Amino acid sequence: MTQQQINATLFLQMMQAGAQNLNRHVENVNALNVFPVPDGDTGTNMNLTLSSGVREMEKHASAGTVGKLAEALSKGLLMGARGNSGVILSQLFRGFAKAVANKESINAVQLADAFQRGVETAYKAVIKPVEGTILTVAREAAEAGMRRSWYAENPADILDMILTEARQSLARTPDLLPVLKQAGVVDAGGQGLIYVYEGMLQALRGEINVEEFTELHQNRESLAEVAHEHNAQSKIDPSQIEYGYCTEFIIQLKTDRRKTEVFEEQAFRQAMTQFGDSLLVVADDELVKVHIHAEYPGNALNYAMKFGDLTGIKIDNMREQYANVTEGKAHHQPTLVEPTVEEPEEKKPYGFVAVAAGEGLANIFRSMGVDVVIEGGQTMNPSTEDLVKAVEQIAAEHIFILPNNKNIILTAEQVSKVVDQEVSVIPTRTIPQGLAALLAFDASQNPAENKQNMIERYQEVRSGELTYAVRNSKMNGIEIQAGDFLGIHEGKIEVVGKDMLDTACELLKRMKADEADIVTVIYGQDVEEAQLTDLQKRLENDFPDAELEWHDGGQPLYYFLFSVE
Amino acid sequence: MSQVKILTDSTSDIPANLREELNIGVVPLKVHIDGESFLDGVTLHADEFYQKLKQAKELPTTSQPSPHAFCEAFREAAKQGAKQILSIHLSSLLSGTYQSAMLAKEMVAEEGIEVEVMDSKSVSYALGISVVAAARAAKEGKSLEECKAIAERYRKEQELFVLVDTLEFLQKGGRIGKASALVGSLLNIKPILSISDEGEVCPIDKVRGKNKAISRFFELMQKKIAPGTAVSAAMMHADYLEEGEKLFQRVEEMYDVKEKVITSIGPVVGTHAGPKTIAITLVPLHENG
Repeated sequence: MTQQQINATLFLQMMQAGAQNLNRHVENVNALNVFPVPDGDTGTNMNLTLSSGVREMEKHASAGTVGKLAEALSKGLLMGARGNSGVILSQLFRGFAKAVANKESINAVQLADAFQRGVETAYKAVIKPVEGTILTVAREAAEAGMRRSWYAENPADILDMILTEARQSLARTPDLLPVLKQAGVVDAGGQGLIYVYEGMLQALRGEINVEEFTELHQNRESLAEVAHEHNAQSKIDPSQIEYGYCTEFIIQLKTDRRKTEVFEEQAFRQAMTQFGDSLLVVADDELVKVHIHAEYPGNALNYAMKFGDLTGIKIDNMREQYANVTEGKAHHQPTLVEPTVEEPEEKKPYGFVAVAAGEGLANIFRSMGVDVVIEGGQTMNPSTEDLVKAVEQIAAEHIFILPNNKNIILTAEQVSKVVDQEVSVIPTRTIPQGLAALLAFDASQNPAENKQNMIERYQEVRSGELTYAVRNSKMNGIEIQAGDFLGIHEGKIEVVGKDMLDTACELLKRMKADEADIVTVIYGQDVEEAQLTDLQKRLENDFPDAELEWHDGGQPLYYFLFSVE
Repeated sequence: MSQVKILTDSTSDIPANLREELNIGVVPLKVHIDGESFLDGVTLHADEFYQKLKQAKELPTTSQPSPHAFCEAFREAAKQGAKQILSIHLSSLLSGTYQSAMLAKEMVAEEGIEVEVMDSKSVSYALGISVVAAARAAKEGKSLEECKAIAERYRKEQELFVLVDTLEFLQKGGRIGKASALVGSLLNIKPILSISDEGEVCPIDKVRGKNKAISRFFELMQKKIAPGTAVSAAMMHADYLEEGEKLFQRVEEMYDVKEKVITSIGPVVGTHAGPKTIAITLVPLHENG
């Protein structure tokens, strides 16, 4: 079956199939990570990005035109964009959507043109496009599609040409980007894009039957859903119930009635654990749904009141319920708690959003005046939507975002396209850079001056990270075995070792800690007390002139973060 | 004796020899330690104060001189033959001293004593350096207007750089001003402070660690006043002479220091700045003085 026109239904099916094919191969894409460090995975990032786009399309499935569906896709992709490849993917389809904006259905030529427009948009979105990446694959593929459009018989013909060229282009990426060649891999983002195109082509050719789509849809829904793990009552011994009240409520974050604190999901979850267990928090930018088993539900409610007004409050006495269930009675008494009221708040001139992993690091950033710390970083890249939500919670005229990771900068730059507030991204690539940038902030200066000062200041610090290799590899002629300790200096693996502390000291030497005024050590959650004491002794001995400062960052996977100034 | 008498308060931290040489009248503020009250620089000097501070159970508190104390000082000056009095005081944003002096001025006006009260919008020897300049002018027989203009020029043209060991004292004493944003940070932040044009404590930069703070201290100094400039320079320290002298040596290497003063930060200012505070103030000198 070969279609001459792609209509709305077919377009939706194509994107669903693309998403499904990427989802199926996500681990293959993740395995193409150039650096053998625990890092934000390209496959996961692209998969989450695309599924966000397709979910948005499904919500508008009845729109009936390709143009409207593409617009929904573009919006969903932008909100869900994570990681550099995810952002680029979102830009490719943003351009695509613009090209088909008023079209009810599209033909072969229009399809080729839409891919070309996508590439143009993506190149514009990236400040310094790097060849040998997903961008090259998308561009060469789209160009082949354009050449083919002169004599293509149908849209499948075009997409087939695009896919063929994309595969060849991908194979050439190691020739364009030396790090790929060295690591013996092709570009991960490019590979991910090919899986998307493959799925799209299968659907276009009618190779996927309708039943499969229902299943795909369900998979996606389960990916997005938070499962509620409810304790089966029949298994509970009432005398063993530590937290006796099943408490559910909704916080309405936006209230003009009084002053509320900024809601930060990670911190909120953490704080709620003090009140009980079986905690479940589902948040969007307006509502937070909370479920908790607490012994003193009033305390949990009072705490939640800080962030907004409460609604849908439901409190059940589980000990009594259990007794009633076993005795065959039914009794239910909801409880209401009187809220405390504070004054409404005015907009402050500046606000800050930072990305960091680990409670210790989050506290350090908060102590420096950051309003919202988004949990994430090396292992989990937040989406544009996560950043947007954070920004929208802050009542400030101008908001600075500190991504603190090279793979989050581009995502952060998408935020200003979505929100009404003024937003500036300070493109910090490491945690030490983020902390240094904050020091240069001066509330009495204007946003442009602040941005410039912060950028100047973070460039004065040297950043190092100590982690381990997740797989065997070869970098700069050094053999790396899985489990080896890796010393990373300004994003490059410079030291490889079998002993954690030796590797740390060698890394610090490379970072010129001997000439430094101050060396800051932020230790992670996996560092033991004895290792810390040993490192302390060695650093005092090796770098006697530097002041040493120690902080418990609590970050996962990265044993140490070093800042040398 | 000159026609114009220069008066100030004890927070000007002017060394005793200069005070006597230039006949500067000083009205003391008060400091209260564990229930005992002392007159700043009169019944309690810097050295003893920092010893007491170490043993104090609670942070000392301070209080401004009463209007009465100023009336007495004004009358005394008039009795000694001063035709006019210029009374220069610490920033009105840091203390009510200026307010007391203004009240006293009104009170003695009825007795025919003419007093001009000036808000230096500064403190310690950053205030003292203006007072000394005005006193020199008075000694040369300059008019009140001229003395006032000189004090004003010193106030406007000087650059003050302060390193505190901790912000704790400024915060507890409520004098932290615009540096309050730095409190509560988990990182060891060393602010470099100054006094704003309005007369409030303000941070001019913040860095991590003491070594960096000192490097930045001199970087900022060179940015404000070009090396090699002829200056009147002073170093103030709170029980930290050795370190202060080290820093001052670098100032002498960097600038053409025509006049220099090294002084202790007295009990009242020391209560709010805390021990180990070091400050340097520079006033560029012009050829015509």
